Amino acid sequence: MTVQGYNAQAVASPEQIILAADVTQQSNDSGQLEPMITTTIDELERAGITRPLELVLADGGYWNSRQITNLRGRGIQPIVPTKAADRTQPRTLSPRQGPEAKRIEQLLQTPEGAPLYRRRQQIIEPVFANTKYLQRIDRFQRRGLTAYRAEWKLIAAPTTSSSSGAREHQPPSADTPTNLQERLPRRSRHYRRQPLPKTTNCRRRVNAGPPAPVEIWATCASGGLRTLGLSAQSEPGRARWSGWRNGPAAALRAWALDSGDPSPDGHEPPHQRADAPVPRAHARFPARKTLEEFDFAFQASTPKNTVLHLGQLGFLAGKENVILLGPPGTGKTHLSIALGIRACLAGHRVAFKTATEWVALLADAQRHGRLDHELDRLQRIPLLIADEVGYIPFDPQAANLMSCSSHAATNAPA
Amino acid sequence: MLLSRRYERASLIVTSNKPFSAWGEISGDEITAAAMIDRLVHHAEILALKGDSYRLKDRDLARPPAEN
Repeated sequence: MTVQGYNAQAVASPEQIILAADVTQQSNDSGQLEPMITTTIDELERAGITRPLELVLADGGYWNSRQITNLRGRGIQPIVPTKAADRTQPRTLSPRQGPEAKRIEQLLQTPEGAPLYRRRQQIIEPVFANTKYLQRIDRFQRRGLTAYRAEWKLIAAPTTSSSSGAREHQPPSADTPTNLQERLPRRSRHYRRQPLPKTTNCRRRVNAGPPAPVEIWATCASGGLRTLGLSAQSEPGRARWSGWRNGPAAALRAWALDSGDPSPDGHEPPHQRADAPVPRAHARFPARKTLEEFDFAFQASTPKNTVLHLGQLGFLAGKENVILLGPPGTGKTHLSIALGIRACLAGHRVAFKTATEWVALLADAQRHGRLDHELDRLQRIPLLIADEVGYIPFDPQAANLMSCSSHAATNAPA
Repeated sequence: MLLSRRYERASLIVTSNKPFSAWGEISGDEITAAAMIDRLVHHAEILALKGDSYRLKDRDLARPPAEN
């Protein structure tokens, strides 16, 4: 049976954080290894991670002698098996040959090599399972390769933050092993305990160089997503996706909205970090709402044109504010989230909190004598959303923290 | 301080169920409220939403109770 579909590629870290995503029209994966790794490195750099990628795990479909050699030349060790594990003879059809084939075969025959490679499917396959079966995203919504690529990257970004199960599995390694062999026994024991679902596909892994305190892995895989026979969407729909240029890493940061987190490498979940200024759970949008979902017919008083104009985000460029006033249930929070998500999609950082939470955050910073620092940090976020101003009255200190200071901002404890 | 720091430097979206005239109550005194509003609205799009609660739209509170 022939399925009309596209080849969706994803590269993930051991914590199942998607580092790179793309869609191609190639029917197999043999040419995807090097481009995806290059994208991954770019994404990591964009997220502020400059530690070199060390190890890549990918399934046999990614075999490409030239690309593997090229990656080796860049200091990356790709492990792409030359034959299926249950096969004893080399492939007769397009046999895997060359020095890289020999190296990989030798590695996979070592006691450490096989469990290491087995991590591939444990890492990357649940990412696809989560997307296609748990989130039930098995169709693209829009037509055309450009739209598919944008949509897949968008899908990949929230997936990374919602595949929660993976986060606890990986303890940060305290030491900085420099030798692959030294690391393997400890790691493989740990991995076997992980109750991750089994499927099939490819992965790759990245590792930090000697100076790095923790290691980075990446895995990579492909999966088919069929197209949905919807007509091309209207202009707002196009605008919604078109801002998605900064890639998953930037998007992940935007979605996570935890501005204190310099990278999405996920080794230290922010809620475990003593110095995390904002619990990540509180730093997110309370729900996912879009302008397209807003019921302008029901809220007839809402100036639709103004709202759609705001959706173009000109106010962000102009450093302007948006004030939404009205009784409960008229859509203030919905619109604020929708505008925030628009801004995220355009690659801007956004932080959403209720006014009370903002006050608590600032008061806490003041108590610890780092109010100035905190305000500077928030200054770098182009869009803050303060929801529900006025539901709870501010005390004088809170009002002062929110609005202006009669005295200069100080770090003196309250 | 948040507002004065961000004034003309970065954007803020604020939602409130109270009209500006009632912000004095929110912030304790009229002067602080005025300063807050001043900075907020100088470069701002203000949307005043009216109407019924969307959350209650299917509840039809206006309907008389069913007669038994």
